[in-house]
Amino acid sequence: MKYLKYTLAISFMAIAGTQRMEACGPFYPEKPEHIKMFRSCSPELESQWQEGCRFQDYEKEENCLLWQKFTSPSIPLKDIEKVIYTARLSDLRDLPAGSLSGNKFAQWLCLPGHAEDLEYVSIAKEIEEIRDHMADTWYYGYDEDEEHVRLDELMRKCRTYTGKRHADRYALQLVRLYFSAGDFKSCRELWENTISDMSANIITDMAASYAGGAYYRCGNRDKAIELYTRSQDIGSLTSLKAWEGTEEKSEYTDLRVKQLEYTFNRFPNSPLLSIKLQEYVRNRESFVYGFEVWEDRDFHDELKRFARKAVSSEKCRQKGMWLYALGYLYYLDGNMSQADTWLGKAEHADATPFIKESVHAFRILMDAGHANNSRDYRRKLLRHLEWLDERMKTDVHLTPDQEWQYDNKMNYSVSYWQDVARKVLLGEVCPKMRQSGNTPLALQLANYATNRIHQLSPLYEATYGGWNDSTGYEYYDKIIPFDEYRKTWPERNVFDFTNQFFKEIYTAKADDAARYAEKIDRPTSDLDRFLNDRSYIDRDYLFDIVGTLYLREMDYEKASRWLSKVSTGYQSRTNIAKEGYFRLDPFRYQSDKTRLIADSCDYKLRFAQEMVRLDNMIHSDAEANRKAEAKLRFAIGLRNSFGRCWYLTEYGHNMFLESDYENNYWCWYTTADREGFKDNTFAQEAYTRVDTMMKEAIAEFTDPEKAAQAQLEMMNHATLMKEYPATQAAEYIRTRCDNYYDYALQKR
Amino acid sequence: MKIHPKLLLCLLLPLALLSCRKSPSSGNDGANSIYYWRTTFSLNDAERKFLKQHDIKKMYVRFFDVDYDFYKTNGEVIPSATIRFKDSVPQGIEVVPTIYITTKAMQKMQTKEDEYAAKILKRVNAICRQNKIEPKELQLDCDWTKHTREYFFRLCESMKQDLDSSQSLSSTIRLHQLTQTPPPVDKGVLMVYNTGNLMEMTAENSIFSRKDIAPYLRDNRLAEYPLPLDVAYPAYGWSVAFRPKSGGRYRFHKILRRTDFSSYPELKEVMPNIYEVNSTINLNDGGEDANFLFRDHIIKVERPTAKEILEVKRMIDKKLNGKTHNNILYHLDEAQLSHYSTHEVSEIYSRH
Repeated sequence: MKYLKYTLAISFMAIAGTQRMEACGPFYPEKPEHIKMFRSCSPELESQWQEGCRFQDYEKEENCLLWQKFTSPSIPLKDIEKVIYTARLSDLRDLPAGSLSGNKFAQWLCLPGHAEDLEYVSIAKEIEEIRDHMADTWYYGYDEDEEHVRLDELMRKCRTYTGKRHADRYALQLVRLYFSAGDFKSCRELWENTISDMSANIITDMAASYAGGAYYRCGNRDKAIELYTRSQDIGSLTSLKAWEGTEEKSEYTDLRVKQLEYTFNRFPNSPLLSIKLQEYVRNRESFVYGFEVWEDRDFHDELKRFARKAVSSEKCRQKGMWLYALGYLYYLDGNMSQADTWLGKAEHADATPFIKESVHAFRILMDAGHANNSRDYRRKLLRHLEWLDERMKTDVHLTPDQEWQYDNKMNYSVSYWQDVARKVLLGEVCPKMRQSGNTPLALQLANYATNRIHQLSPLYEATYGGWNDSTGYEYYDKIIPFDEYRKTWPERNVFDFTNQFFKEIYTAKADDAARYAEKIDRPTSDLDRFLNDRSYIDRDYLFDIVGTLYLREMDYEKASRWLSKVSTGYQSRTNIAKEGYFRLDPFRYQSDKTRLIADSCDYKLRFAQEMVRLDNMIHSDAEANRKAEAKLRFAIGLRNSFGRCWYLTEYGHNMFLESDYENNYWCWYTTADREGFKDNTFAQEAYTRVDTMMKEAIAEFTDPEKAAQAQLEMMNHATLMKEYPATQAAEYIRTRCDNYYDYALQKR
Repeated sequence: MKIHPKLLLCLLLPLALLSCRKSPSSGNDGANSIYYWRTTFSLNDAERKFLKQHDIKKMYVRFFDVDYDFYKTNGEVIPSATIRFKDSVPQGIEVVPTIYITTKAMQKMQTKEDEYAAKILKRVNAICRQNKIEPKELQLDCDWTKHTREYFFRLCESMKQDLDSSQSLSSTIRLHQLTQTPPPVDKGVLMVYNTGNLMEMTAENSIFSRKDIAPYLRDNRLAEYPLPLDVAYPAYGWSVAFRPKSGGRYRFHKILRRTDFSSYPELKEVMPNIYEVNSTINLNDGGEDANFLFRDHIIKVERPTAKEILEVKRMIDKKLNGKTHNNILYHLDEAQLSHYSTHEVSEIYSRH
C-alpha cells in the first residue's frame, strides 16, 4: 500500500506539472506558447562568459589565423583548430600516424625544419592538459607530485626559449603560469621587460589581459583598464566598471543600455553584445509570458532605439542580430506588422550562421501565426519541419541522467530546437488546426513535438521509489532504453500518460483520435509520413486511447472495434494495471472488493463487448423481463464506468494528494462517487442516461419477483417492501432486517 | 646428532600449541582499532593518551566522501569533505584510508565503476603521499542495497585489481547487508551502530539497541558469513530534537551534538534522557550559528552505555562462534570517549 502511495505521489506530481509547485524560481511556462525562444548566443558562449568572462571563440579564430599566416594559406583553419584546440598531447606524439594523420597542419608540423613549431605546440598542450587535470575536483595535489614537477620543467623550458619565432607564445605560457601561481610581480616584469616590446597580435593581446590582472592586483587600475581594453577583455572591464565617467555623454537613460553602448562603441562585434541582447530580450519575454510582474517598458524602448543605431553603424558586422532582436521585440509587443518588417530585413542582413538559424526559427514562428488547414500551409509546414528536424538531430546532446526528460514533459527548456518545436507546434499550429477542423493533424504534430526528442535521445532514467523489506524506503534510478521503459519497466510510466501529446489526444473527440490513429497505417501525404516516422506510434498505446475515448463517449461498438486491435498483454503496461486496478466487476451494482474478478484480461474490451451485447438485447429482445434486466445491467455498467470502475473511461481519476505536513506524508484521496465527476461532462450525460434507464427498467419488469430482486440488488429495501411485499426478496429482507428503511448504501 | 624423543617433544609441543591459535592471516591481526571520522585530522592530548593507553595499532581514517547531488555537485560524482591533516599520525599506528560513498553516488557510478575506482585510488594515494602514510589496507563504506549492490561490487573488484599486491581491500558491512552476498573484498567490518530509526521518537535508541540488532543476527549468519569480519561498536552519543505535531505525536527536527543539558533551566527532564523545552532557547548561545529550540520541543539523548555495548558484544561474540575478529570503536573524539571509562573501553576491545 505504501508502495502504491509513493508511486501515485510521484505520478501526481507529474500530472500536476502544469501547476507549478515551487515556491521560488526558476519558473517555466505552463503553456507551450509561452516558451521563450529568442536566441542570439549559444549556451556555450553564455557559459564562457558566466564562468570566465572570456570569449574563446574570438581568440580561437584569431589564433588560428595567426598560425595560418605562420605556416601556409593552403592549410585549412579547421585543421589548425583541430590540432591546437581539440587534439590531445597523445595525438601529437602519435604523429605522423594516429588520428591527425590526414590533418594538413599536423603534416606541416612533421616536416623537417618544423621541429621548433611542433615542440611549442606540444609544450603548450601539455601545460594545458596538466592545468585542466589540476582543476579537476578529483585532483589532490601534493608536494612534488608529477603534475607540479612537470609543470616546473615546462616553465623552465618556456623561460629558457631563446628563439624569436615563438617568443610571444612562450611568453604567453609563462605569464599564464605566473598568474595562476599568484606571482603577479613576475607577470608585470615579464610584460614590462619583454612582451610590451613585442608586436601586437592576438598572442600578446591575450598576455595583456593577464598582465592587466597583475597590475590591478598591484593597485594600478588605469594600467589594468588600458591592458584589458587592448585585449578586449570585456569581462575584466565590466568588473572594474570601466565605463564609469563615460555615462553622462550617453543619450540613453537606462544603465544597461549605456553599458551596451560603451561596449558597442569600443568592440562593436563583441560576443558580449549577443549575450546581453539575449538576456534583455528574454527579460521582455518573461514579462510578456507572465513570469515577471514588473514591466521594464522604458528600458525595452531604449533597447529598440539602440538596436536601430547599431544596425546603422558601419562598424557593425552583426546587423542581422540587431534586426532579429528588433523584430522579436515588436513581436512581443504584439505589433506583428513591425515584427514582420524587421524580420524580413534580418533575413537579408549579414549574420553568423547561428543567428541565421535563429532568424529562420522566428520566421517559422511568425508563419505559425497564420497556420490554417490549407494545402499551401501544410506544404510550407512540412518544409519548416524538415528544416527544424535537421537542427534537432544535430543539436541533441542530452544525457539521460540529467533529469531533462521530466522537464520535457513540463515545457521546461531542455534543448533549443525542442523548445522551438513545442512553441510553434503545440503553442500555435495545433490549436489552429483544431479550430480549422483538422484535429488529426494537430495530434500528429503534438506527437512529434512531444516524442521526437526521445527518438533522438532514446535512453531514459527510470526512477524507482518503494518500500523494501530489509532497508525500508528505497529510491534508485536506472538508465534504460526508452522502449524498455515503456514496455517492461514494472513501475509507473510517468511520461506517456501525462505528456503534452497525451493531453491533446485525451481532450480530442474519439472520432478525431480514430482518424489520427488510422493515419498511422494509412498515411496519405508526405507530411503524414514525415510525422509517422518521427513520432511515437505504438499501436497498442494509441488504439487503447482511442478505444477508451469511445468508451467515454459511450460508443461501445466503436470502442470494441478499436480495443480488439490492442494486444492482450498491453493492459499490464498501463499505470492503472500497475496500480492494481482492473479488478472490480463493472456490472455489479455494489462494488465488492472481496469478490474481485478472477480474470481481468482485456478488461476494457470485454466491458465494451458486453455493453454492445446488452444494447442489442435492449433493442431487440421481445421478452420484457429479459429486456429490463439487460437495461438494468447496461445502466449499472454505464454508471460504474464513470464511478468505481473509472479506469474504463479514464487514465487517472481525481488523482489528487493532500500533503499532511503535520504527519509528514502525502494522503491519497480518490472519490469515485458522482461528486467526484461533477466536472466531467461525459459523466453527467451518462448519469442522466443511467437514471432514466434504471427507472425504465424497473417499470418494464412484468415479473414482480424479478423487479423485487433488482430492487434488492440496488438496496432499495423500503421500495422493495412497499411495492413487492409478497416476493421472496421481501421475505429475505424480512428475516434479516428489523427496520425496513432504505439503507441507501452506496446509492448514487 | 641424535635428538632424544622427549627433547624433540619438548621442542615441538609449544610450536604445536602455538599453531592451534587462530590464524591472523584472514586479516584479523589482533590489533585494537578505531575510526577517525572528522574532516580535520588533529589530536589533542587526551586522544593521544587514549591511543597509547589502549594500544591502538590501526586507525580507519575517513579521507573523503564520494557524493552526487544534481544541484550541489553539478550533476557529477565528486569527492567532498576531504580530510585535512593538521597533525601527523602517531608512530606505530597504521592508517586505513576509508572512503564513504553515498548511495546516490553509487548509482551514478554504474557502468563507470572502473573509472571511479581508479579516481578514488589515485586520490587516496595522493593524500597518503602528501601526509606520509603508507596504507596496507583501504576501506570502502557504502550503504549498498540489492539495487546498488552490483555497482558497488564492480567498484570493489576494480579497486582490488588496482591495488598493490601487498594491499588489501575491506568494506563496511551493515546489518541488513548480512543476508546478501558479501562484497568481493578481503575483509568486512560489521557496523553495529546506527541501528534504529532516527526519525522516530518512540524508537528505543537510534544509535544502538539490542532489540534492533538481534533480528539481524539470526540463522547463524555471523558464523557462516563468508568474509573475515571485524566488529565496530559505537562510542558516541548525540541528542535528537523533535517538534510537536498533532495528536500528541512528535516529528524529527534535528540532531544535536550536545548531550549534556544540565545547565539549561529552560529544559525539564521529564524522563531519563528525555527533556522538554519550556521556553525558547538557543543551544549555541555565543556561537556563530543560532540553534533554537522552542517550547514543547523534546530532546532525546542517545548514548549507548558500556553495559549495553558489552551485552551486545557478548551476543555477537557468541554468534561468531569462535571466528577470529577484532573490535573497533567508532570513533575517536575525546568529547565522546570521555563517557566511557578506561576499563569499559578495554572490555569492549577485549578478545576473550
